[in-house]
Amino acid sequence: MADPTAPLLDVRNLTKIYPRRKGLFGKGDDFVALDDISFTVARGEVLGIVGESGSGKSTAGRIAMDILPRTSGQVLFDGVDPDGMDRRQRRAFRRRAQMIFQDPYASLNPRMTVEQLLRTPLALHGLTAGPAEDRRKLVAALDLVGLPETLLNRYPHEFSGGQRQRINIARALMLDPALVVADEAVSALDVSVQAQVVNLFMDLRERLGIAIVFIAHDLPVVGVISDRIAVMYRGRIVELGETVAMFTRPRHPYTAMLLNAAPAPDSAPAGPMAARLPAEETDGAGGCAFRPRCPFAIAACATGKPPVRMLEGGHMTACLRDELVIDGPLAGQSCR
Amino acid sequence: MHTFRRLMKIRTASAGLVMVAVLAVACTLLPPLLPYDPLEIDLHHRFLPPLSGGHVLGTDEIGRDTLVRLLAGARTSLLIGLSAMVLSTVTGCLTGGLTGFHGGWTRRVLMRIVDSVLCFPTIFLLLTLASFGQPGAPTIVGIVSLVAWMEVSRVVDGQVRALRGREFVIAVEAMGASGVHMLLRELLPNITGAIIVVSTLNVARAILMEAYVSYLGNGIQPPQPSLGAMLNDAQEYLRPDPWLAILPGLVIAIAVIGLNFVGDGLRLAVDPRQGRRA
Ligand SMILES: Nc1ncnc2c1ncn2[C@@H]1O[C@H](COP(=O)(O)OP(=O)(O)O)[C@@H](O)[C@H]1O
Ligand code: SF4
Ligand SMILES: [Mg+2]
Repeated sequence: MADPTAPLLDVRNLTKIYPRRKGLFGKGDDFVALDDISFTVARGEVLGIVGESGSGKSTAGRIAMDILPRTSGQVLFDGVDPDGMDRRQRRAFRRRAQMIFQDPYASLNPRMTVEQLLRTPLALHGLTAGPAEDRRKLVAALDLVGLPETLLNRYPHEFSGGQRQRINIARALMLDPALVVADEAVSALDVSVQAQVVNLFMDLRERLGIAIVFIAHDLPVVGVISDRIAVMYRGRIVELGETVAMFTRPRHPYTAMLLNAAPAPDSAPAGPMAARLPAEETDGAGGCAFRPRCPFAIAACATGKPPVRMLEGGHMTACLRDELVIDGPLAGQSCR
Repeated sequence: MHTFRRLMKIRTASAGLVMVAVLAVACTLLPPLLPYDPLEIDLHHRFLPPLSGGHVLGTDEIGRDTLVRLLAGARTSLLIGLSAMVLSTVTGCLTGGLTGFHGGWTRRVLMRIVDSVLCFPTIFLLLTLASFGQPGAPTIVGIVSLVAWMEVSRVVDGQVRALRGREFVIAVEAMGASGVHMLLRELLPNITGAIIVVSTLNVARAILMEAYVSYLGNGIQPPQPSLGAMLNDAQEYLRPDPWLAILPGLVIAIAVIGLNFVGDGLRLAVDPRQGRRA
């Protein structure tokens, strides 16, 4: 058994390169989707991963779940890399780590009833224990996500997006997971429904002690639920730290931009962030990738990738300018 | 259920379904009620025209009852069509499912073979193969399936490939589902519509193929009745007794057209979006 104080999930120096061909016989122009990212998730912790569309969040989540091959780096779940797990460990990993996807419409098999959907994980892991006991488990899971058992015989298309996402969550809960990776689990939902589902996640963490990797492109939504947040930009983690510290004094201009593009964290979650990646933007070749959009760029930013700087409290940033003081929405408030 | 209701709204499809159903019911239920045997020769009553001498559809050149022979022939045709369909559907689902799921070089090789075989006119292939085999129903089923499974395989391969990366499949993969589970429980149930469409059309094709092969003498052997062989026999007497050719032709047409109507209707009923585009 792994050390209980060690992180549940420990991702080290993960790199993912997609080979890209230009034209039919074109020379390979590799695309770096993840560039040497590292983060940890403690037991029962909520880690937010935020960044605009295309920054590599899903790639990171899927590699952590071992449903996407990586180029290099390590993923340690309870100290063991899924890549080197034996059959038994792998089974346990598939049970203890669950994923929720962005599109609640696409992630449920349209041909199955809710009952069949929820029974699937039990069957996959040989956890069936007779019809009555199984049914009790199904009802309990539905109850946890706030759905009545009368829905068991319905098909996914009969539900709203928010309800479907609850069904997805209930299905993940069937296996008693220690970790749930929620990839944009609320992004496709209406704003009011988003808040309800975020509350459900917080409730689950509170009641069941589940660790959550909460991926979204919307920093305020992520701020509501996360203990710590990793901000991604173009395949790199540019800032990682405790939510309060980040919302008080963001250390990276990109984080500041995400914060100003949105209302304060304790107000209602906002809609999708306006600022998206322009299609063909020079990536600040050689220097800081954020340089073309950075209001604080200096000459030094053009020479070499900014190194990762460790600050107090485990906070880290990949911005050169350590003297920069940017006020976040929580600045001036002594305490949250 | 929705699909069936949509199917019945398509006029040609419901007509086709009635044609096939009437034929199937007639050739299962009617023969025991008729006082003749399909092999019973009656040289005193040859070439009776329809509705004469107690024979509803007349008799042939050796006095056998045409109606009974037609029904028996149609039954053989339908059985051959169904067996070939089952065989080709199972083979096609397995191969197409595997190649669509795994991709890679197996897929490239198999699909290349399928493509090159399917671009030959099927009938020549069929006749060549038939001339090697022992004539009879099992051989015809085998030969027809040998071609028909490829159609199924190609359809299943394409559909499985399209669905393989969908989130509901990835979702169960992340829960530890095996390839077999993903294929059988998640993917195939979502493409039954497309499979039923090709399979229905394959029944029609098999019936037509049986008729061709038997007509040319390599299929069902006399004295067993077969629609194709009856057509061949009738050739000699075309001038004085045309109904001997017209009747089996009509039965073939009813079966094949009916099944095609149903198949085409299903194509629309299974995927309503396609219907709007058409
Ligand atoms: N299969 C793939 N082949 C090539 N590039 C890909 C592939 N999947 C994702 N990418 C690229 O990797 C980048 C990161 O994608 P993703 O992890 O989905 O970002 P996010 O989830 O943050 O929106 C994107 O620019 C995307 O275009
Ligand atoms: S390193 Fe320079 S360009 Fe990059 S974020 Fe910091 S100040 Fe801006
Ligand atoms: Mg994504």
